[in-house]
Amino acid sequence: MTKILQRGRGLAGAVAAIALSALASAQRAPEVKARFDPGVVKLGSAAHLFVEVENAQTGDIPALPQVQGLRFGAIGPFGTSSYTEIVNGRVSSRFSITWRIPVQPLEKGEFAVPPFTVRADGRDLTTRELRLRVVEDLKGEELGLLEIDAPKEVWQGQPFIVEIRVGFEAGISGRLNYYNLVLPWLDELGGLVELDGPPIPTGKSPGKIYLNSRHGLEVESHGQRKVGESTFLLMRVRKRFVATRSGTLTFPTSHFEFGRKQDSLTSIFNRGGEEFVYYKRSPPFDVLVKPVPEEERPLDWSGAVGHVEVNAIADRRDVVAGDSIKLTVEWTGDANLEFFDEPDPARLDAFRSFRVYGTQDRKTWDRRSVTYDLAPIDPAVTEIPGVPLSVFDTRSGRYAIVSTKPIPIRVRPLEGATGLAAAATAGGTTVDLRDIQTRDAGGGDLAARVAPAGRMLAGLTVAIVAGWLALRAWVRRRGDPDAPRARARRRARRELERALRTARTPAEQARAVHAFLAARTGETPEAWTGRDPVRWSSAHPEDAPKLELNAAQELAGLFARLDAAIWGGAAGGNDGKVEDREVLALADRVAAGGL
Amino acid sequence: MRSFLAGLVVLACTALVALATPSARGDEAPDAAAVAAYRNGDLARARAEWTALLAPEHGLEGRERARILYNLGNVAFREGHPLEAVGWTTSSLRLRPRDADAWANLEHARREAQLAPADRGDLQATLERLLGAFTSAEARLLALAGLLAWAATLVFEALRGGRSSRWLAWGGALLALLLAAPWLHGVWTRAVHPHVVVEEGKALVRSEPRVDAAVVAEVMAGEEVEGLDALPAWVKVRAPDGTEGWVGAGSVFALER
Repeated sequence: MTKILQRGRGLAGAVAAIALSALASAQRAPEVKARFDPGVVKLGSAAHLFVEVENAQTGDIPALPQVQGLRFGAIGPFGTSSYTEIVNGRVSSRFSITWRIPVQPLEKGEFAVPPFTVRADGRDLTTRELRLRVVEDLKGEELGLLEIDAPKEVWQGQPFIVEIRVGFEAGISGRLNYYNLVLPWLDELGGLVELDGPPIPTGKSPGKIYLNSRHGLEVESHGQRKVGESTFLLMRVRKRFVATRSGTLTFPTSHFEFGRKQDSLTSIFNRGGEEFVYYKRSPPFDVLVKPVPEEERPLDWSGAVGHVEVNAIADRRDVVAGDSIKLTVEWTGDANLEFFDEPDPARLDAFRSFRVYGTQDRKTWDRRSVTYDLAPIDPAVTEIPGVPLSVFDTRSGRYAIVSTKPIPIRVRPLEGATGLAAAATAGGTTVDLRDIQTRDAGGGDLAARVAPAGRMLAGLTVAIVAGWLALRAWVRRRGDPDAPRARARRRARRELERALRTARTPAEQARAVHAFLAARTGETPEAWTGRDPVRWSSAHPEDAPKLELNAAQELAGLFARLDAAIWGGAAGGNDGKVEDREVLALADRVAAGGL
Repeated sequence: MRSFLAGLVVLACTALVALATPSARGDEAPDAAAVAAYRNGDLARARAEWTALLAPEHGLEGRERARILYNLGNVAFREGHPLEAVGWTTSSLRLRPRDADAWANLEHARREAQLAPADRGDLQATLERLLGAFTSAEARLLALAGLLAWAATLVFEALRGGRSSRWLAWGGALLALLLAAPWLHGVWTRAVHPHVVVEEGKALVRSEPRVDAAVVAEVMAGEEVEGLDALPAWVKVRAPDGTEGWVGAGSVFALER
């Protein structure tokens, strides 16, 4: 879904949106605001410094800054108030604490009170720099005009316009080059958020004036007015606000300063001459903010507060199933159009036969326009249903549904297709049981038939351990099987085979046989040189390896053949060699006989 | 000698084939009738036919019995009893633990019954699934193979001695332990008479088989308990926390089927 927030005129709307988004967060941090009341005071009169911390229940001002020319009174205890706040349709309970500190000006001038620390709920907060103008005399009341029009009552969340008209006597207009509107409540009144306001018509602005001695404020020419014998030239400023919490908003005294100064910002009025300043005062006023009722609040309330009118248009009315239709819904009126949640057709039953591909959202202070990208998927669709918006209508004081009128359309079936509705259904797969099994794919239960019982396994384990111990003991009784002699005895047959393979003369064969016999008997090969196997066989001790008589005789025969070949003149040649196979066969018989 | 050994091998193979081939039984007709009834939506008849097949006189065992239990799980699910389906499918898996269809249906039934998955997917669950992937008989065969391999290494060690043969014997022991792990796991974890709780939400465990007896424990739906005794309307169970008591016979499902 694509949303485009179109920029309004100036940053006020965006700032307000950010502020309201921040307000909407459930866990809000404490926020401090401070202002002087009034912002301009006559020398000898008293003013008050109001310090308010929202979203806090306890607080402390450790110290106020020292300002030459101003004397602050005792800080004193803070007052507490609780209220409900509604932001974007969400209602929450809040607390705020307020200090009212008397201020006594000691000399005239413009005093800047630097930021100071306020401790609230364990957190340190810092105020903005504050300005208080102290003048010797608030003269010129009869030469100026300052009127502020604001509604007496508004609903919580409902935007309202404060119209400020300033003016001066036409006869002195030629001597003026300095205009300053002092509104100490602007940006410093808890529960009041400034929104993007109505623009000044092109060509109706004579220029900018000061606002709270800081930045330029564009004003609108507002004609003339005759009061008694005097004629006043008027300028107008319209600002738009929303009250985010119920209760009474008290706007403190405002001033309009006008006169002549050398360093004036308003160059279009700058015509030279001696300096002077006149003051026109506007008394404080209240705006009662009524809470939006809890009773009968719909679950799908969009958060819209105010009077809303709606209109809808579709860019196409004759489409093929699946084709896109751009439905533009436009809400107008005095409601908080920038901040309500636009309806989502994808969540409305009436739009079940549509696919919603996305939305495009445009917001201005007096208009909210949302373009829905819809596609009917069923040829049976005959209209685009109404798009309902749940609002709190401030004129009737009740919740109401503001809905667009259904727009008739024609949806032609998609050629060669069974219908997108069917396709949509087919695409939405689900998980279900796997089917019953009608035949076991596997073979028989071989394991179940041949597996031993558990007890048998336990018994087998015991038997294996016992058998191993017995076998080990029996083997070890005959000697260590890992001793060098035992290993040589096991290797003797392999060594013999290897030696015979490389033997080239009967003498080498004889040495290989002697080595074999020596390894089997645990002696040195030389012990078998010249030994008579038959005699040795009959005379060997009981515990020595046994050589059977037949094997001994064969062995003696082999020795004789090899000796004959060696000593009969064939030594050093291949003549007289005995076949390897024959020797190995004899060796096997000897070993099998127990040697 | 060689011909004698070859003869022995042939004889053994013949015996194994004979053992592995399921003997023909007279249960094809009721099974076909149950399948037809299920296909026609007559779940009551399908249930009756398959339940009758589980009777001892039919002698169904192993995989075939697991198949019938699986099908009864489908019947219970289609009848709108996912908890009972959990019971049937779990009992099927005890006989055929590597049946992918049964696992899929078990998880589906558990999800439908608002129960946690049988396989949680963590390391412990994966190991348990691995160790439980064998039937009891398969686990015993594996253990036997491990023992024989170990015995061979021990014989070698006894005859030859030496460090290498001792290492070989240790390796044989380790192999035997690994191959015996599924069997040992089953011995230690398998309840003798397992039941699964099929009461919606939870079942109350009472001190005596009376509805006015004190409640000594609660067992949640889907939990496994061990059956200790049974009366016509009550089953004595041991809860996972060790508490023993009686629950209504309809609150639990015996997994030995």
